This record gives sequence, C-alpha cells and structure tokens, in this order.
Amino acid sequence: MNFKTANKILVVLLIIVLLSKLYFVFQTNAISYESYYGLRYSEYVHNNLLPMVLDNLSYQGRISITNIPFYFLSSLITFILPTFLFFKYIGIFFGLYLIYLIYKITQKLFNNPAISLLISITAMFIQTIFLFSLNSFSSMTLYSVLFLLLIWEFINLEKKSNLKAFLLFFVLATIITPYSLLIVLGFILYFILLKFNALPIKKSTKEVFLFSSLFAIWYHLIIYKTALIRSGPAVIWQNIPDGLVSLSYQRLTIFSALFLIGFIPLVFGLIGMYITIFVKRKRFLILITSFTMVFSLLLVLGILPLNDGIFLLLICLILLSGNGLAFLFDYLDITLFSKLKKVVIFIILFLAISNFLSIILSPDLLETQAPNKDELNTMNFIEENTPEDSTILGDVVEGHFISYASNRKNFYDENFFQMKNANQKFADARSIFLSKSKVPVIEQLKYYDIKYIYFSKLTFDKYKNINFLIREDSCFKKIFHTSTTEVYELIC
Amino acid sequence: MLEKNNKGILAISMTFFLLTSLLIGFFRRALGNPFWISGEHYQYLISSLSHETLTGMFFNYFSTNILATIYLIPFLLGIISIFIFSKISKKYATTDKEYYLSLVLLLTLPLFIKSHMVLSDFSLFLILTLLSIYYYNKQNFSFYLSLFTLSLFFPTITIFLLPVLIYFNFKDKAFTGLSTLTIFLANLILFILKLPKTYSWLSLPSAGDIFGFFGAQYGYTIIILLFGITYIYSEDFKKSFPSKYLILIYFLLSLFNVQLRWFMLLCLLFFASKNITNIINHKWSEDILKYAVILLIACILFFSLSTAIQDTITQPPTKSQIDALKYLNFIRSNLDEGKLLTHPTYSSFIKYYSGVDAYLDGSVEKEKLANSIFYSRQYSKISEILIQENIRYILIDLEMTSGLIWSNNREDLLFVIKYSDNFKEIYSKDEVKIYYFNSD
Repeated sequence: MNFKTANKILVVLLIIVLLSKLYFVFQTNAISYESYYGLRYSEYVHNNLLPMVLDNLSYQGRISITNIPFYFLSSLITFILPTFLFFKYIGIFFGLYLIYLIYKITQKLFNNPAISLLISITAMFIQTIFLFSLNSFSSMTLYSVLFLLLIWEFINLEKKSNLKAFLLFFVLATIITPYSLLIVLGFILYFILLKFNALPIKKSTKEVFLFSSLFAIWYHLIIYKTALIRSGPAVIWQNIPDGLVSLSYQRLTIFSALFLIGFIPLVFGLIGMYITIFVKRKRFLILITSFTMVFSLLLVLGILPLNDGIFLLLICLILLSGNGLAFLFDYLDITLFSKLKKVVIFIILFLAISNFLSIILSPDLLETQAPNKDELNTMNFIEENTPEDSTILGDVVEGHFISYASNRKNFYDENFFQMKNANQKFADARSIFLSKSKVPVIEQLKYYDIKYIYFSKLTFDKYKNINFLIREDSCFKKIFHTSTTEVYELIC
Repeated sequence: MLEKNNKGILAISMTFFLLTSLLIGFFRRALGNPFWISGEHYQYLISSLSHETLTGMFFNYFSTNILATIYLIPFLLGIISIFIFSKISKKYATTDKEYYLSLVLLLTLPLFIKSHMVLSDFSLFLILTLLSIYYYNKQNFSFYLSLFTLSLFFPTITIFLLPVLIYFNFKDKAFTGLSTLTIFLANLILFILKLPKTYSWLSLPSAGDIFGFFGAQYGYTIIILLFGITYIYSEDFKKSFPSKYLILIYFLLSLFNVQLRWFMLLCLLFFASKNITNIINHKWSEDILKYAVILLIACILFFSLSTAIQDTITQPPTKSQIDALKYLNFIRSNLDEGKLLTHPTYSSFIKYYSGVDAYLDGSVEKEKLANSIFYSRQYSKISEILIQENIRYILIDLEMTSGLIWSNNREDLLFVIKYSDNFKEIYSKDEVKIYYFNSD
C-alpha cells in the first residue's frame, strides 16, 4: 500500500465517521449540558463585545474571570456561524481533524502508510475518541487539537514557519486552558529522558522550551493569582465539592485504563513506550513518551480530571502504538512468521469495526449527555411563568442549561472554580432534595431565596427509590410537569 | 567589559524611583486615600506594640516625633539602597548589560516599591544587608559595624548566615572570630533588653506568603526565581560543588522564614541578572525566538511594575474605610466596649483610626474562630462566639462581599445580620458598613 491509497481510504473512512456522528447529533435538538455555559457566554460577547465578568445567572450571581480568551475566540467565530450551530457541530469537525493529525504525525514518524492507516482506524473507532466533543464544544476540544498541532510543529521545527506556528499554537493553548502546563512538564521529562539516553538536547529545543515555560508559568500565575493565594495547591482540584471530586478526579487503575483506552492502544502503546526508551531511541517518540508518562502519573495521583486525562493519554498511546506495531511488523519480517502480519492487521481491524458497531448500535448514546424535549419545554415554561429574578434549583449538571434555557438564576452549576461556598451549596442542595424533614428544607430554601425546584429525568435517576418531600408536601405546589420533568413552587 | 563610569544610569534609576513614588502618592491622593502607610507601620504607631522589637522602637521614634518625615525617610532609604546596590552590582557584574539589568530587576521589584512608600521592615533590612554585603570584601570596621547593626535589628538573618560566613572564610580565623563575636554581642544586647519578638524563626508559610511574595502576585519575581535558580545549575556558575547545595538549602529554608526570603531574593536577583544576560548574549538558533523571549521578559517586568503600582495605589486603608472608622471613634463612647471584627488585612489600622481594638491580631486561633463566625448562619453559634470573644463591632466593606470573604451580600453571617435584631447598623456609607452587636 502506498500513501496515495492510504489517503483515499482515510478520506472515505472520515466521511463514514462524519455521517455517523451527524446521525447521532441530529437525534437531539439540544447540546450537551456543559456546553450551555459556553453558548451563553459567547452569545453575551457576541451581543455586548465585552467579557461576561459579572454573571448574573450562575450561582445566583457571581464574578467569573476564568477562560475569557477561550469564550472570546468562540464568540469571534459566531460572527460567521450562528452560535448554537457552532457549539453543536464544530466538535465533530475538530474530532475529524484530530484523526487527520494522528494520521499525519504517524506518517511523519513511521513513514509507513499501512501503520498510519491502522493507527488512524483504531483511533477513529474508539468510543472515547468517537464521543469526543460530540454535540459539544469546550476548551478541551480546542486544546487536544492544539496539543497534536504542537507535536506536529515540533517534529518539523527545523523550518522557520513551523517554529512560528509552534509559538502561536503554544500561546493559544496557554490562554485557553491551564493544561498547557502539562506540555511544560512533558518537556522537562523529555530533557531528563534524553539525558538518560545520552542524547544531546538541541539548541532550538532548549530555546523553544525557555519561551514556552516562561510564558505558561507567568500567564497562569497571573490568571490564578487570587485562587492560588486563597486556596493554595487545592486550586488543582478546581474547588470541586467533596461529593464530586472523587468522581471527576478518580484515580487511574489498570482496569479503568483498559476499559477507557482500549486493548490495542494500551498494549501496543506500552510496547511502543518500552521500545522508545530502551531499544530504538527516537527523539520525537521520546517526547511523546514523556507526555504519556506525565499524563499517566497525574492520573494515577488523581491530579488530572479522569475524562480529560484519559483522552490526552489515549492520544499519546495511540501515537506510540504505531511504534509498537512497526516494531512487531519488522520483527515478524525477519522471522518465519511473516504471514502473521496479516493476522495482526485482521485482529486490529476486527476490533476497530466491532468497536464502531457497538457505538452505532447504541441508541441512547447522547441521552444522558444532553437535555431532552421535555426538559426544553419545561425551561420554556419557567421562562414564561416565573419572575425574572427567581432562582431555580435543579441538579448541578443542569445548572448551565437552566440558566441558558430559562434565563433564570441557577442555584449552582459545574463552574465551581473560585466559588467559596460551592461545597456548602452542593451539600445543601443534596439535603434539600433528600431531607425528610419539612422545616429545615423550607429554611434552606428561604435562606438561599429559592422559590422553584426543578425535577428532571437526571434527578429522578440520580435519587432512585427516594420519596421526595417536595413532591408530597402541601408547601410545594406542582406548577408544571411533563412525562419526565416536574417543577414545584414553594408556597409556604 | 564593564565600564566603571555609570553615573548616568544611576541617576536614571534614582529618578525612576522618585517618579514611581510620586506617581503612587499622586494617585492615592487623587482617590482620596491617605498616602499609603503599610499595615506594619500602623502597628508601630500603636504604642503598645512598638516596644517589642528594636525596629518598632526605631520606627516609633520617627513616627511620633518627626511625623512629617515618615514619607521622606523611606524614600531616602530607597535612594541610598539603590546607590549601595549599584556599587555592589558594579563590583560583581561582568558586563554593562548585567549591571543595568540588576538595577532594572531591583527597581521593578514589587516588594522594593511597596516597602519604600513608607518605613517598613524591608526598607531597613535592605539597606543594612546591602551595607554588610558592600563592606564584606573590605573586612574593615565598617563591615563589623554594619553587621552589628543588622544583627541588632534582624538577628535571625545573621544567625542563619553565620555558617556560610564561616564556610567561605574558614582559613581567616580572625575575620570569622570577629564576625561571630559581633553577632554574639548584638544578640547579647537584645537578650539584656528582653526583646524576644525581634527573632523570627522558621514557620510554616501560608499559600499567600509563598505565592504572594514569590511570584503569583505580580509574576515578576518568577523571573528572579526561575532565572536565579537555573543559574546555579548553569555552566557559568563556577563555584565549588557544596555552594550549589548550600544555596538550594538556604532557598528551601527561606520558604519558612521571611527574613531569609528577603536575603535570598537579593542573591537570586544578582544570579537572575547574570543568567538573563548570558541567555540573551548567546547565539540563538533563530532570532525570532530570541526576540520573543526578550519581549516576554520585558512584558513580565512591565506587568509586575504596573500591577505593583496599581496595587499600592488601592491598598487599604481607603478613604471610605477611614471615614467609617473615624465615625466609630466618634460614637463609641456611647456604646459598650468591645473589639471589632473585620478582614484580617484591615486589622492593622483599626485601632489607630477608631480607637477600638481589632479582634484579629495575627493569632491563628482567633482567625479560626473568626472564620467560623464569617461562614456560619446559625445565630446561636455566632452570638456565643461574639460574646465569648467580646466582639461588639463588625466592619464589612465591598471587597469583603465581593470575594474576599463572601461571594454576595446574602451569605452566612450577612444573612444572620440581615434577619437578626441584635445586629444594629450604626454606619453605612460608600459600601462600608459597621454593625453593632447587642447581645441583650
């Protein structure tokens, strides 16, 4: 197989992936719960040309200064595309571009069309990557693409245009997310591994590192200055309430890795890592190895959020699995079992196709990720029938959705960062939902000035077999309901 | 090579310092705030605290007897510090660039700017340390005198640095002996005068101590930290093997002692200027990277300077806080006596303007209790602590309700104050409120 044929196959496969992703996205009229914040922010910037520093709806009103550059960038594009469409569909194209970048990088690293294609096929049909930014758009979407672009530019750093692109992408990655510090950590480990392998560090690499590390550290110290002074190292966990931190920052175990990363990337990735460090010492693969080690370590220590960390780790392992495959194929070529190559290719393709089929045959893939029609109708009711300054209590995941769709204040949402009482609010909300005693529930609701309580499918699923006091007590009047949602008003 | 005649640069540095001081003073006056006086200075103004340290006694003399000079003295100390610093830098710098850069690093150091707006520990510390360093090589009477003075005002730092002094001058027994004797004598005097608070030993730093001072607050000191520390590992650092580790040990210790941190800041400042000069001078693979790094360093320095100036201009006490506290002073004779609770950073000037004792005086226990008041919404719990700790007044301003303590004006204690009859609002103007707690 030559590169021309491989390119054609890749294009066909990308079209298949595009169509199947569109099939899923067309099934819902909404976007993912967490994307509603970006949507509201971008619409605000679009209309006012100013950052939404004072957010009147989140947490019943708060000051928010994080991630302003990302939302500004998003809103720039919304001058060309409608904001909602942008947030709903752009993730699909970023997902496809990610696969294309994996293909290009492996092409450059291994110069073997079969391996590049196999790696790309494996990547595009892994559930974690297939679902990546499907029906949503966040800073992580942009960062993961920038991360691969940075690797691509770094591999081609000898050209001046690539150097400029590297600097530009790094600055962009830094201003949209603190994860750019992981790149700095990766570079530090890269230098250590180069020393370990007695390989010299190129002058240009040192210089690029100097600029990147200085910029990333300075920028984040400015942005997170107040948070660092107030919370210290706990800022890493983004002030996520105790009840949620164990879920978001789950520690990586071998079983969760196998489940989330998949067999092929994990096994061949680890083999690739071993070969990179101990057998064939290739400079660029050492860089990817160091990123892999940084992500793994931070995941094992519970410092990196599981979803984001796994995704970044998966990308690195996929790239490294090319090295494992290349080594295996070379090895088989010099033995009597060269025909086994075809068996290996068949197994990889079989696993990839079965992965793809399992995704395609899941009808409720986006069911829990985005609000349904009932939820949208309920929010319309709330917007039309409640006072403008009222606060709605729902599930923490639905906070951004409530604020966007009903244009009312949410009690709390997933943007916990720099919210001093996030933990308290999370615990209080839980006790309001679960308490069996009327007096404390009403006291809490009055304390927080909450008049409306929203029950969704998510809330009912979360607290299965619980008889909610709010649904049974006469102090709460059911003012709206659908087959999956209910809204109650406090009337006492 | 270093040109020995650099008077022009020195004059520019001093003019820059003068302009910065005037700029801060001008803007503070324009906002109606008093010319900035740091928290620690107010403590010296309160006579009950001023005799516990020698620095306190020293400042108290100037503050109470020659009040008009308190603005001039720190400025003069700053000018003299720049002069001595330039002399030292000239002696150790190998190129003009390095010499200029060290001056730039000093003049844009937030701590330097803030601590020379008023008499502060650091302004005195800096000049005495620089004098000791300057006379160190000469090893004459001036050195022993400056070491003695430094030991009197800041004995901890000289005790910390004595092993280093002995290590580097091990063969010169007369010098090490006399230096030890000087430090010992100074400590003996402090012992006789019974000034235990003069000593500051190792203590666990808070995140604010490390990030506030070492970088996050302005970013600038990150330059000193990164370039200073990496210089120790550079090929240009041709000192002996243990020196590297000695510096690293002192650096780690400095995280737990503020005076050592000030001293290490000076050392790292010199190292950083050397390192940056070397980095800029070396042949780069691409010019674009060189200019990007220079531009970045310039941006960091400019940002740190402008933030330090802005921060100093808006530093408490502000006019609205002072008005509130003066009002309290006016009416407090008609109310029951008690302490005032507010954010700990405001505590230092409460007594001076209101005559009422601030509840938070640096005690960790009291801070814990204060937090349990701030973040509670149970009247019974709050009132119990207020009665137990004799707190009668609570001062709340816009900063406190905009993130410093609460996220909005309905949370926790604010909620209780709003709905309880025992809290009476006695002052409310310009977003500053004072509540009187009546337990009856």
